[in-house]
Amino acid sequence: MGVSGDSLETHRDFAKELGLTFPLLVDDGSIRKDYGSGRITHLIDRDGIVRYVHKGMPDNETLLQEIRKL
Amino acid sequence: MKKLIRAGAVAAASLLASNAAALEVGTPAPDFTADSTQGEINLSQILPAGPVILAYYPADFTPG
Repeated sequence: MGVSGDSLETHRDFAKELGLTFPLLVDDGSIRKDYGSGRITHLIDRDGIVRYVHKGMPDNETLLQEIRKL
Repeated sequence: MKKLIRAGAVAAASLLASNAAALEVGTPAPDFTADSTQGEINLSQILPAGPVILAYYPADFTPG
């Protein structure tokens, strides 16, 4: 899922333009308080445990490796 | 030398500040509920369906 502080309207336009199949979340400030903002990716396993954190542009190769470990 | 120490302290402080919000691997992900392009989403409710990638990004329609 993607998340930013953008409005739902902007998110809808953006998701439509890119043809996104995953949801874009509207952060009212509570998510960035816990997870940080800017560019940061978290991988959360089905037990709700953080398994991988990456700051900056996502590293898809590493992310995929981490997902395969779950 | 004093200047060097001060620079080091500033660097350390900004490093700590930027890490303040980061979660540690192995710790529980705080629950949240948010509006989304696919309706309201609650983290703990969707987790049983599988792992979640939460990608925070600065803003829509921006490069990179």
